Amino acid sequence: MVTYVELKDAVIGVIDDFAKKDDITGGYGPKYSAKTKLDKIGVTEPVRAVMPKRFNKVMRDLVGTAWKPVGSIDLVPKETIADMITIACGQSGVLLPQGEPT
Amino acid sequence: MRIAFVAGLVFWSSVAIAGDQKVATDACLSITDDAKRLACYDNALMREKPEAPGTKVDAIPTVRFRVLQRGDYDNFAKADVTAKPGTFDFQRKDGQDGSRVQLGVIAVGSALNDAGWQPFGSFAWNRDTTGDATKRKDLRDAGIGVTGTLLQSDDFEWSLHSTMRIRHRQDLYGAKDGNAFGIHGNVVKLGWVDAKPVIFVPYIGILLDTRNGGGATNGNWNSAYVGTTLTVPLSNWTRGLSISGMFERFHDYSVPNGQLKRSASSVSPSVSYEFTDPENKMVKWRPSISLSRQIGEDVRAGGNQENKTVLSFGLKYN
Repeated sequence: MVTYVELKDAVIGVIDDFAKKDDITGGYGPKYSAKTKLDKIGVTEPVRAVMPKRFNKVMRDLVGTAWKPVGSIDLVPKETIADMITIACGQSGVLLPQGEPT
Repeated sequence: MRIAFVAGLVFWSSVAIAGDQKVATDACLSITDDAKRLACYDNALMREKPEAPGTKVDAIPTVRFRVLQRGDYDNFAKADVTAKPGTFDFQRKDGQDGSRVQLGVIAVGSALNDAGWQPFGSFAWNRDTTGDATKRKDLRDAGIGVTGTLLQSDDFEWSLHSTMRIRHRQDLYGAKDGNAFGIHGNVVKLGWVDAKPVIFVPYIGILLDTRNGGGATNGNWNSAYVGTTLTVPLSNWTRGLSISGMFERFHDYSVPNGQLKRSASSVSPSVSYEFTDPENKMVKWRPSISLSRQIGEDVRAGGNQENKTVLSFGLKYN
């Protein structure tokens, strides 16, 4: 069973793949957090529309058969990194620890 | 000899660690608070802190509904138009009442596969009876479609996000009734859409329309179009404010019964403002206002030749 920390790291990695002008993985903590707006790091609506293919692949590799895939219509309305982590928890069945996502 | 030495080293190391732990646990005995004493033992014995019980997050429902201005996802990747609410407005001019309605109700299904293809069904109502009697329109569309990423480069820099859709149309004032099949593709290049400082999305599409509304227009209308959308987010300046514009060129390459081929362009810059904080997720009903200039003929929306400025009030439900 995948842990929340592994899931969160994977989500941040996918966002980093599409935020070409920002180092999200390296700067997570001191510079970026779950509250970071996706638009602010260049992951705007059109970008979120084309993320599902990568997002589903990474999550399928991590979670396995329990992962329920997402589509463009699901990801486009997401506004923060926290929203992306939360949807990953919902689609994988991983519990969201108290106080998370941070 | 060597084995005995290693075994001895492991034994005395274990004894030393056990000794350290004993000293530490003895120190914990003096703590009177139960929770703190337990934490002290956990720390001394190097036990990992048990993970706090978490909250179960609901998965995305199999089907859900949205209300927007258009009943499709053709312009899915357009940041501004995607978010436009359904609109109603009423006018009285020269003693005659008129109304405009742009409303789409969309049912969205969960993704079909790991490629992210997602199905949707829709109903759209596009009515405008504010002009003279010859320009009145009332189009009612029902459709089903699927949307997803058709192509993507390995470094994710380039993507073609596409929507395929089948539509049934009823035209109350004209003869545009019929069935159509359309493919729409948005070209998404990460460097063009990162909002630093704009969001620029070019798009292409084809539309194969079989009309059966009666008369000489019955038959196959095969068309293609290209266009671009440009959005300038101004949320850093004033929340809820944005400037956007779109340009589209539409052309028929095959029409029935010697009909005149449509070849039209449309341009529509607009400024919009949401009265509620877009970042406040607790707000469900979101009123907004927009001022737009519409020039040319938006053929795909079933519009006529326009050259007008429109002030609209909208209400969106999230």
